Amino acid sequence: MGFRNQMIKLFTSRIRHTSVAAAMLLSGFAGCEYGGGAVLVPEVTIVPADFSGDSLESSSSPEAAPSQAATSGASELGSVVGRVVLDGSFEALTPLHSAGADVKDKEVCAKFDTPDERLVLGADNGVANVFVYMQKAPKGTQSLNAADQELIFDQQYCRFLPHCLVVPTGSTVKVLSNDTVAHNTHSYPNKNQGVNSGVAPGDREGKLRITYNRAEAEPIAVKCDYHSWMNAYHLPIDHAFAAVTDKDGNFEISGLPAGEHVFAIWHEAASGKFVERKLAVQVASGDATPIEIKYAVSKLDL
Amino acid sequence: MLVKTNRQLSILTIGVTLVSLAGCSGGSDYPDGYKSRFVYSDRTDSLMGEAQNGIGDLPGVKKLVDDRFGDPQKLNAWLKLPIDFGGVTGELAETPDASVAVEELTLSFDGEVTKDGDKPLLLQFVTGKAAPSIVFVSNWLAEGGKASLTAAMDVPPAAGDQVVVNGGGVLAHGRGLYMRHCSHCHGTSGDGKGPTAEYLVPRPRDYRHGVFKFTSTDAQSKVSRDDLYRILRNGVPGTYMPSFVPMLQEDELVAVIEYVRFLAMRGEFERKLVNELASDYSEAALQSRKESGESRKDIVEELKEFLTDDMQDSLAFVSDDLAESWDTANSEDALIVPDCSRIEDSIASRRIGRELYLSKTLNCADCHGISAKGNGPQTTIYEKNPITSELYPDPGLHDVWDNVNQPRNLTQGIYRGGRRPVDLFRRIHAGIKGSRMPSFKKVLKHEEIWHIVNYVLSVPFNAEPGHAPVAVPDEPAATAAL
Repeated sequence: MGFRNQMIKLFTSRIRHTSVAAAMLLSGFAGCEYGGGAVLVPEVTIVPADFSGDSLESSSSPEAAPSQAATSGASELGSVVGRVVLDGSFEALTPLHSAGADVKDKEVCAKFDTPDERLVLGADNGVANVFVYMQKAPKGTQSLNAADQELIFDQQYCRFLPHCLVVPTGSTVKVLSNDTVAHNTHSYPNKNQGVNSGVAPGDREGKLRITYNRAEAEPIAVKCDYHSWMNAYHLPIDHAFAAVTDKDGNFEISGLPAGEHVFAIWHEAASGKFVERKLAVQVASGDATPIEIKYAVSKLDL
Repeated sequence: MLVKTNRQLSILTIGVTLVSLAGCSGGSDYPDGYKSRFVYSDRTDSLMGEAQNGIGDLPGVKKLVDDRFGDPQKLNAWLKLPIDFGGVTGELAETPDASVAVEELTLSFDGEVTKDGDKPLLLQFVTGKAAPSIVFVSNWLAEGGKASLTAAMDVPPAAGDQVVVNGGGVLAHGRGLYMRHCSHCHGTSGDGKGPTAEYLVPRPRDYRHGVFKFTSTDAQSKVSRDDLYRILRNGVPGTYMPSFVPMLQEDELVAVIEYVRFLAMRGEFERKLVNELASDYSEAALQSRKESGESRKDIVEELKEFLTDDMQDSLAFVSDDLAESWDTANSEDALIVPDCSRIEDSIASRRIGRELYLSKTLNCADCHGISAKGNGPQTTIYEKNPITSELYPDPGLHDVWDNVNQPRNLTQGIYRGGRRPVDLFRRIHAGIKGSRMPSFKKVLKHEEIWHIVNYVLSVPFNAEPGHAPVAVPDEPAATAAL
């Protein structure tokens, strides 16, 4: 009896059980490759550089365009002239800060009222600072060569001048400053490389130069980090068919081949930013009849 | 003891055994749960479904990225990228006779290929009918370029087919090291969201913007291999990024750097592709367009046209730009070299630096504070995300990773990008990429930058924090520079 008890004790002892459990655990884990994901040696497949479809030499439409250009003469060019009008009543926005307000660098930035440029209305409810542009150059037009062009992007009294700028790709934007305080220019493009650089006070020759190499689908924001209310919009574009409305909402785009063309109308205060993504306009050769683009108050997102 | 009776212990033993055996499906295959995955960025997920996943045969963003980069188990080494994948590229010099089994090839390589004793060479076909098959070379004669294969090829190759021998070794090595040493903070995809990341401030770098903060290169250039090497060697003081020397050997450091660049390029490629589509085909744009009266069907048709006609151009631009920018970052032209030698530290120089610091031209105090404690007025403003126009919840300026960008407290003497005077010079000259520290190269002369560097290095040792020091003329001035 004593021996039997002793045997039972031996075989059912907790230590024995735990060690058996441990042994089974270990064998179980050994059976599978624990940690396979991280420690595994990966397969590497070499993929050729000119992945199918990547090379620009693949046949695409540009070859067809020149033959069209050859047939259309100058007499078949027309233009789009018009105004962007706010449809409905709207109370003008109050200035961001008035003259003499206690803002940063107030001797310069609060010398005059700083307007809220999100919605600037002119004569007869005309809306300023609206971009009117074509997303892609129409077929049959010459490609742009703007490498020699220089544009001025200035700042004074802590406001960017102009607020909206159309920039042909390849051209040089000279960033000037007419203020005695520090500014920096910080751009946020999608397809181009951004810039974040200080601008020397009173720099009239524009040591900072910006070039955009690719057209963007919509205007990009440009801000100053020192003065957070300062902002502007640049539209890098690879053709000449873009314009910004003036203070009364007027714009003109010329040199268009006759036919139907689709325009995008973009404004920073519009809900979704586009007043219209695809506005079809019939362009006749010769003088154009002015069109009126209605910008509904309900579209405003202020 | 956890269990009170022997009966409970037996149940535990049997239960655990069953679970461990069931949880592992034996053999050489590992269960799906252990497979690593590359994640797609939030930006990709903000596109409409058809743009992400494609329409029919037309690939969407996700497939375009996967085809070029693969997944962590099966990486794709895209030769367009300026990454040293390892191995030697070459091509087939002669078309072998296809009527008999192809067991010998004539190859010409761009570099030297030597066989390591008995170990067969791994030869991968990159282009042509035989791609992407892998064959093994048992015998290699450099003169004449004759390679004898261990087995006949299934598909006969043709002259001009590109090949790579022992390719991908560096990438595979880098991947293994990265997963072991880096992924717990930086994440499997280099998204800075590894399991430990949420407990760290500052967050680990998210490589996927292709932006690294502490570089020796120009403001418009990317990070160079040397910069990444310096970070691995020195760590980033003031953060959780440690030094990996001497834990990692030279060849291991090289491999990890290539893999990190691989992940950064993958993320950047994905991001740039999304940028090509986001304006017109994001979910937000879709909603806005539907409100304007367009139907979803028309928008999908338009997307289909874009993918067919315009995606090629977009891909070409994006990949050319990516390859070029990452390549030129390593060149000497990208390196910032001061045009005058370092101006020796002196009280006079520090005073000039302090004056420049406070001047209206630079207004450093706006962010860094008058006492250089990193508490300038810009740290209290609320600003909007410049891309989404949504107000950030926390005050202060934010960086490109949407984290609060705390201006450096210069009184602590901890310089994340390195404490050599030339490191500080480069921070001021190029700014800190991805952060709100702008480049001052268009505003300052190089001498002026050296004066500011001297001032900054003296800040931790000033009696009054941030003030210009006043020392007795014949007393040697304390300095952080060694």
